[in-house]
Amino acid sequence: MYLGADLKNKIKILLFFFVVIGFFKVHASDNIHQAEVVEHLGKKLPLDLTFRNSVGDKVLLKDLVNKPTIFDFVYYRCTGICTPLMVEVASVIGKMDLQPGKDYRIISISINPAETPKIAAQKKNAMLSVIGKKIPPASWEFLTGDSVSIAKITDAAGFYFQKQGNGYLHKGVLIFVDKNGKICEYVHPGYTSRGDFTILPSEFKMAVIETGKGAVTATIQKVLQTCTTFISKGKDGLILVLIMITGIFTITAVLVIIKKANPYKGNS
Amino acid sequence: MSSDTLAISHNGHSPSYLEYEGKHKGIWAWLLSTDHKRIGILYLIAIISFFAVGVTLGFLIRLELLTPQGTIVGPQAYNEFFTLHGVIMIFIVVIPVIPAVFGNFFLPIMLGAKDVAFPRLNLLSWYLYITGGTLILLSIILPGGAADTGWTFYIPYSVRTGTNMIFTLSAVFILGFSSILTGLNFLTTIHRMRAPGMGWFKMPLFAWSLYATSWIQVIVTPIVGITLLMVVVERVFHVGIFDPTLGGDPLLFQHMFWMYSHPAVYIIIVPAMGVISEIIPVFSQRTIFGYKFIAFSSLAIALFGSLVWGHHMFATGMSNTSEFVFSLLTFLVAIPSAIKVFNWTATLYKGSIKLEAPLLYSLAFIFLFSIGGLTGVIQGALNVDIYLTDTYFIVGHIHYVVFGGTGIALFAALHYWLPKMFGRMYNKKVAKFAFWNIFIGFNITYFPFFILGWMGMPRRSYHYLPQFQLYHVISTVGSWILVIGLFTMLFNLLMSLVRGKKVTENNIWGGETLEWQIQTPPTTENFEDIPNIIDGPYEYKQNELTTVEEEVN
Repeated sequence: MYLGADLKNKIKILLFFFVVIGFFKVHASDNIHQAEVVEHLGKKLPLDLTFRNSVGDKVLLKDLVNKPTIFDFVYYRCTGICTPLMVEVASVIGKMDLQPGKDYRIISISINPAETPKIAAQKKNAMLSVIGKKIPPASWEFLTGDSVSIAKITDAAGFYFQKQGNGYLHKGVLIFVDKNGKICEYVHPGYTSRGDFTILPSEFKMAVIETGKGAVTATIQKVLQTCTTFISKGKDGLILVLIMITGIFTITAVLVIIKKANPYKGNS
Repeated sequence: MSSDTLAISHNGHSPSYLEYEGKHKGIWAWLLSTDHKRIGILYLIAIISFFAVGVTLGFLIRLELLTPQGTIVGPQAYNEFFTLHGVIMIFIVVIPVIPAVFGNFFLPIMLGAKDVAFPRLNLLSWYLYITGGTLILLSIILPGGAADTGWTFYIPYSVRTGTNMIFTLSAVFILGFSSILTGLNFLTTIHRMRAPGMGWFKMPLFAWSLYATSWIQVIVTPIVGITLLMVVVERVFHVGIFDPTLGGDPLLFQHMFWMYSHPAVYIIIVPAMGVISEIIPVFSQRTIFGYKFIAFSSLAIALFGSLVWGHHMFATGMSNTSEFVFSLLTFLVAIPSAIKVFNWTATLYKGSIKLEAPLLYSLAFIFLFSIGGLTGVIQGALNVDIYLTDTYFIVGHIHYVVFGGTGIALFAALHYWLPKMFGRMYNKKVAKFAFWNIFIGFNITYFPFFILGWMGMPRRSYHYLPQFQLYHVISTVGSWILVIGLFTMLFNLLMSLVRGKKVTENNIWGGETLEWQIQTPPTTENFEDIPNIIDGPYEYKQNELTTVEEEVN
């Protein structure tokens, strides 16, 4: 079959076009993560990154991560889950007998590069006042940094977020890292019926102790959350009717057998 | 063996069911036997073997918990350990053990019958039982690993886990059928095969307890069958029934699971209560106090016990109304259990007490079951339960009820009836030594669970905070004493079958129920002539006792 040169060229261009689109499609779906936590248990965080603390000084993560450290990615002007999560962390610090600064350190890092140490300082003051006991200020750092550093640390932790309007779409999770930067445990807080976060002090303490030994622990809390955020679709009635029918059938059958069957009379 | 030597060795007795020769020979004479006594012994051998597996797993679990951060195994192996321990002990050991072994062996004899109503169905249910047990063992050996969800198979674990869940679920499904067939058999036997003159209120209390149990078995076991079948369907075909991500309802699973598994607690404990009701009058030589109350309390337990399943789910967010109702019914179910305890202690009062091994175990039963029962009432209170849910408190409670109750009653029954079943007596001194080991070891092992639970130690965890270690160490040391006791007891009983003193008299303990009136060991047909019953089952010579007392005074 003969096709004109012009038509052949058109087909070639069209094919090329599809291939290019396909290529970008494939790549795009590889790169875009939704707001989610992909656990990188046992992997190391890059600790040669520099952030600014709430006083405005430059700090190297390597200098801070010298004991079990809990990373908490939030942004300080967040109107969503960040504040309730930090308040719950503060209350757990107050309830535990472990000493912050001695046994463990908490590092909150803002995922919003536009936030300044001044904003971080306000948040820090607010949170330290919630704890209910005095802790060394350096035991809970509130850091800010540039977008590259933020992307490096959150990608390594498997913490993915999306910009949405003025804010960010993201999850709330605590990431436990040992003194070498190895990710040992993810603690996903639970929710109360009022919509607050709950973190069990015992779970937090256990994570600190095991992180101190460099032990990597699997996560179970995620599975539990599937259940707590679920609303029934209402097939239950049908199944319960099925059970009732089975029950009535069983009782009838048993009564008939008891009455009508010929029991064993013996060989003799 | 010639017929002459047979006659001599039996001292004029007719050949017992142990020597009976039917159309099958050797091992087949047992594996194809429809004799209720032989089937009872087949069950006994199988159940004791599985019990040994369960004890080993329990021992390893305790060893693992000796130190806070893992001693011998990691989290995955630990999950499989406690799941297997639970599945084996609950579904393969304590649910069937007393009805299948002692019910099969003694129910027809106590009623004055030659066998159960459907002997061949009886054998079939043993084969179903063995199939179920074998599937569980296969799930351990085959690649994929044993189920790791806990014995409650909660959704979504049981739908998502990569382990050999289908084997375990199918096994429990098949074991359920075995249980239903045994229940049906006993119901028909009790209704239709009582000897002439044996009215309902002349039945021994063990028969009453089996009657109540059998009704629970046939009514509620199909529910767990359907439920587990649905989980299998969900796993294989991804139909949304229970898994929330497929559009199912995980709470529905919990409801359906406990609709069976709570009454199953009474399938476990009511026959044990029946055993205790037999032993206490015999070893105090007194009529049982409140016969009708004990008989009807078994039925009351069966009825109320079927309506309290929701108390396993107080922390799941049910409506306040249902929580209130379930809590109230839970308190009510304590009443019939308490009635039995009071009646047993009242029977002992001014009795002529013989402190033999069966009575020692029975007294231990009353003590341990009371602790188990009362801690159950504590958890039946809504607000306390929210605090105690999923802690070691519940683990302590279940072990006091199931092991301290049915386990100890099983040992009592073994020491009471084994000489009748095999015509050999065990070493009584060793039996008492084993008893004290078991009793002391039991309390050291399980009492710390209540303290741990109150302190907040979560169940099903292979690691724990250092502040709990002291109690875990105490408990683990207790488990060693307990295992020594169990081993001594089983060894003593096994040795008695080979070397024990021969028992030829019919009535070694002075019991009044029918099994003590026939030959030891019984003949295949139990009775040469079907007996005609005139007296009630516990007519002891009380007048003689009072004269003895008067003489003393």
